[in-house]
Amino acid sequence: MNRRIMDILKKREVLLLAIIVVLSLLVQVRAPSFLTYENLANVLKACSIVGIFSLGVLVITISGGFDVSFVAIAQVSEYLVVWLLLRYVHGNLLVAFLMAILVGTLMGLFNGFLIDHFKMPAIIITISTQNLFYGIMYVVTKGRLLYEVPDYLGKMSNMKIFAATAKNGAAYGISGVTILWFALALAVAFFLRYTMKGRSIYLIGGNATAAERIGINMTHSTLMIYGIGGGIAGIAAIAHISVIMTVIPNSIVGTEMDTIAAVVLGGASITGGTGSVFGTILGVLLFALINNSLTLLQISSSWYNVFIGGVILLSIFVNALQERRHLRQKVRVKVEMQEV
Amino acid sequence: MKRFLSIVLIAFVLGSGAIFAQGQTENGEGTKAAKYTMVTIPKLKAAWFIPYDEDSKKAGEDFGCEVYMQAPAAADEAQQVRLIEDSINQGVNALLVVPNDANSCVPAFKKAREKGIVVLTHESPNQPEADYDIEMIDNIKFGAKAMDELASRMGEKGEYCIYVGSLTVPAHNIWADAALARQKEKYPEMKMVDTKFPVSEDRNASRQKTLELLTVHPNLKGILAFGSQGGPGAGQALRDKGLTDNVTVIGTTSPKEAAPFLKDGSMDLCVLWSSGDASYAMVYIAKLILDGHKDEIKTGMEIPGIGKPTVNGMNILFDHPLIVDASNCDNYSF
Repeated sequence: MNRRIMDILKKREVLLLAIIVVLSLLVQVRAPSFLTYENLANVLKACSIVGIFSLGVLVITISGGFDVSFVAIAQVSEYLVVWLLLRYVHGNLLVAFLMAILVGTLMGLFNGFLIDHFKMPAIIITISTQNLFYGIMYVVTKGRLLYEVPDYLGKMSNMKIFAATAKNGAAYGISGVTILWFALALAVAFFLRYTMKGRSIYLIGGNATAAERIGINMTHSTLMIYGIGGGIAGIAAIAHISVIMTVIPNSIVGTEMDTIAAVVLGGASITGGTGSVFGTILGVLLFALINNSLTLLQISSSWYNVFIGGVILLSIFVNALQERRHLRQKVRVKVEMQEV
Repeated sequence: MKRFLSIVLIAFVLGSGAIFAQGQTENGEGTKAAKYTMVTIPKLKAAWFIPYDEDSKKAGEDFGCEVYMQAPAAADEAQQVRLIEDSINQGVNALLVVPNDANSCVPAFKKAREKGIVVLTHESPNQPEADYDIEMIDNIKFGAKAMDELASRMGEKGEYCIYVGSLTVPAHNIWADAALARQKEKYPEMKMVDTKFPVSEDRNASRQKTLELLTVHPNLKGILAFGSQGGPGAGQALRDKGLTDNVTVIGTTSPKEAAPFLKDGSMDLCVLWSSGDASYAMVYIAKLILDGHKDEIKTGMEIPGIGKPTVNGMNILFDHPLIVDASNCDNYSF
């Protein structure tokens, strides 16, 4: 029993949750507006896009892969889909999603194909495709913005679920993009935990050779993994348009590192084999809450990077300690076995 | 599989070849007819630089020069330097450049000037190896002007905040500091809350930051956003909160992007400049130099339609900000 509790405490999710709770309580003492429905709903809306991106990155990271092109994929899908919707397709939100998922998945499959075919490190391939996707888009669009976006796209982010009303009559509530993020998170969690394909991703990330020996088709798996990553980037693209209601060719550039940092903070190992949806959500939330609380505490925004760096270091430090203890136990078991 | 791959690769190479070839015929048309050939090289292909292209061509027509644009696909200094060198080899008479990086352009500029090519820059004061640098705004005056506009709309009192793109973008921070200095000097009843917030390049971040600030400072009356996305993001937050009439938002957002916000009152004003005014002036000045009238470039000269600059060494400074509100935001192409 005691051992079971210890096991639970060792999990990254528990550590993150503890940090979040402690942080929230500390902030709440100084800034009473922190733990209000309105503030939390706003924070959730603001981090939904990174949240959605992080799910795709999670799947790829668990498989031992790496992707820096997902933002470029989203940017291209965003531009292409809105352009088509404005010019040729009389669509609705569903059509927009389907198109973006299709475009994103195709670009993801292209990544997967290159990575599988040339057996080159994924980071090199995706840096190249990132440049390729952006480059082609700039050549074709000449950097022009799409100023007007179909109205039905904005409705999703303006949706207020569990709406409440502020004193002046303005409504607030959980945004549709947040619901989208959580629904997608559930779907990805289900996929990773309860389907053969999903579980095989952990195996591939843990030990690719073993995975191949037990008969997992690596080509198919690589295509599937990067295809999913691309498809999720496509979904993030629609969420992003829904929030900002315009298409600016370079407007999500720079989100790459925030997302990867949140996924790694959430417990996914960069070498593959581990990671969970819940941890990733907590990683995204922790970054968002730190940012939010600095404003509410009226601490200069110059400190933001210091806090973020500090939190990442702290969590890696705690994890390293746990792992070292874990490793020591392993060695001991080995010695005992030899004695027998 | 190999065969399939080679077919794909060949198709790709042919395809991109066709794109480039097309680009060149577009640019190369009729260069022989005009007296001087000038090339405009902005930082990148972007909406902001559309007037840079359009107005330089208009100046070309007005002053009898052939002007065309060569833009890097991304804001990449190596690509830009390559374009500069290609243009030198093609034998243009003037290079009108908005450098991505002042230093990396120096060797190419030196080479150009050795060949008698006029080199003018924009957004790069004291650019080494350039003949002149042309600025449409004086950074200090620009920041102060933005503050004056904000103050007059806030009744010269109350709390306001300032957004910048990041805490390391030089221009934004010079403007922000100048605005703050102006407020301290002229508007003692106004008060900046907290510090500068680095959210102005990201509309989602600006929206969220505005919501947070309105929570902490319910009496916030003004937002000054240096960086293109700060104003629209703040506007979205005010729409959410139903406060579009209570808070003044002024931003350096391009008119077309800001138009929906200006029209419903969630933004009040765009304060910026037009890269087109700069390129128009650059063509005029390049022609003066090529015609051998360099001595005319001094304080007191006038450029038709743009105004009288202050000439300070190699820097030609206009005080020509572009102020856009709901009434005229539809008149611009960027």
